[in-house]
Amino acid sequence: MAENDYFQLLDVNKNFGGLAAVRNVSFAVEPRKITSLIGPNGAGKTTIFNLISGHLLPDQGQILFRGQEITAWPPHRIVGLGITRTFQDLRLFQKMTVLHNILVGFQNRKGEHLTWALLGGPSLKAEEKADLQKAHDLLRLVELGKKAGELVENLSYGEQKLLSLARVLATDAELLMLDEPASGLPLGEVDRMMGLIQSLVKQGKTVFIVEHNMEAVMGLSDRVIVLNFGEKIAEGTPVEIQKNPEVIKVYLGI
Amino acid sequence: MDYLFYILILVDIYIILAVSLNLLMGFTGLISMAHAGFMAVGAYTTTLLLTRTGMNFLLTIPLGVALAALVSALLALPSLRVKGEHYIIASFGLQIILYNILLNWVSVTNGPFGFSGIPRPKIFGFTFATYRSFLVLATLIMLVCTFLIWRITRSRFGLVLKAVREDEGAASSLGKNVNHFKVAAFIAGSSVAAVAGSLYATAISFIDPFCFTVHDSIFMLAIVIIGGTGNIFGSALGALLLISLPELLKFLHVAESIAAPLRQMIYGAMLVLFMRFRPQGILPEYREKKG
Repeated sequence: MAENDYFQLLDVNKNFGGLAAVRNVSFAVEPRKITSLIGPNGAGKTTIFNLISGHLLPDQGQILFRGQEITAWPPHRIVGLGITRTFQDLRLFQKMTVLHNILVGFQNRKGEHLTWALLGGPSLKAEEKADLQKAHDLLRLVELGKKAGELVENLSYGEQKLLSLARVLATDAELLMLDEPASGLPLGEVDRMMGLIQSLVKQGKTVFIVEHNMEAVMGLSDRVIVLNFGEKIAEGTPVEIQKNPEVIKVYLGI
Repeated sequence: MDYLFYILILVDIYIILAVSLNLLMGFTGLISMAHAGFMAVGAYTTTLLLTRTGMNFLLTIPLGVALAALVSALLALPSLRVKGEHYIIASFGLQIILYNILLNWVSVTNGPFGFSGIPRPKIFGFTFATYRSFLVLATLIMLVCTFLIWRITRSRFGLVLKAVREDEGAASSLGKNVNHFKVAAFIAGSSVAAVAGSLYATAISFIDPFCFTVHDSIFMLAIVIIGGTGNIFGSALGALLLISLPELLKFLHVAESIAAPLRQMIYGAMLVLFMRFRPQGILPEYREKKG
């Protein structure tokens, strides 16, 4: 499989009324790398995330994953294929415990079938025990091990952000789309989050980040794609992007 | 004593209704106004089978459940795609449709006259003729229904229902087929209401369409809200409270012409007071923190 066959957008368009939110955008994401999509507010970054995750339907264009077209698939099928996402506003299940938020992330569990839920049985018990173990491991990874029984609404913002990362890891997806993973975090926690993301890539994950803060992702990314008013204006390594005159002009406003 | 047994049979029936409605309301976030309609499906199925075919009572229950499941699927498949208040209106519509079928399909339902003299259940040659013996039967069936729903809420299936209630978009982003879960929960919860209907018809031995109006659906909603949405035992407690408390009026020798409207006022006042001072209900979903 050629590198750019892993994941790509081809001429994707999305209009909201008269507004072209995404215009003829094409790019590829390479496996086991960190790719960042940056651009000023309103550039269409989150729209692209919503188009990929199936929460919005593109007007035109194709989205391909491992050579398979996934354009306009419903969100749950896209997760089943191995693509998952976080949300800028986290969208955790506020009135559920931290542990339960993780458990919902696991895929294809027997206990999610009504008949299994009613009948029970030893294999279901074994699955639930294994899931609990896995959930606690994930919580320890993001240093929330002691908060498992806490309601999400009682966590700090930084903790909620870490939980939203742990929750998508629970899906075991290989392509993680992270919507502004560093925004709103105090400086020390930004480093912790970035360290976590790097360790995920070392474990074989592919990371695709949306970020409006250019500085935050420059040190982290293998490739950077720049959007402005719904159009791709540049793509390259962080060094190339930082030198690109058009990026400097439209993005940094200099 | 018979009077007390009679009240407790009603409590059993309303526990089944409230617990199953809570699966929809409290756990999945689906407010259904059609619960009395599904109860009627069970009541009429059992009545017709008992009086026309002499079928065993215990066999009529699963048939009532199956018919209610079918009816709920007919509503759920198209209307659960719509969200929130639209869905409430759809369930309201279904309640009105079911009520009107009972009222107007005279050749089958006997229209506004309903059925009287519905025979008491007979199982293995034993007839549950007294209120005392019927109470034992009703309590057993109530415990089975409550246990099954409690199991659902404790399962991973139940956890996904809560996730759907909290945020459908987030649940789908974690690989959950939201519509599938909503439809399954709606069918499961609605069809259990038919069990309560089967018990009701044989306990009271009289049914007509006016036993299953939208007011009864709303009364069931009130039990769930006052008991505590998202807590199965809250619903049981709510049913006990709302069924038995107004009966105390009888001991105060209040005339029935005053007691009936007074009962409605008590329900209304309780609902308002709970909404104002304890919106989470008697038993909240999660234990409150100490301190």
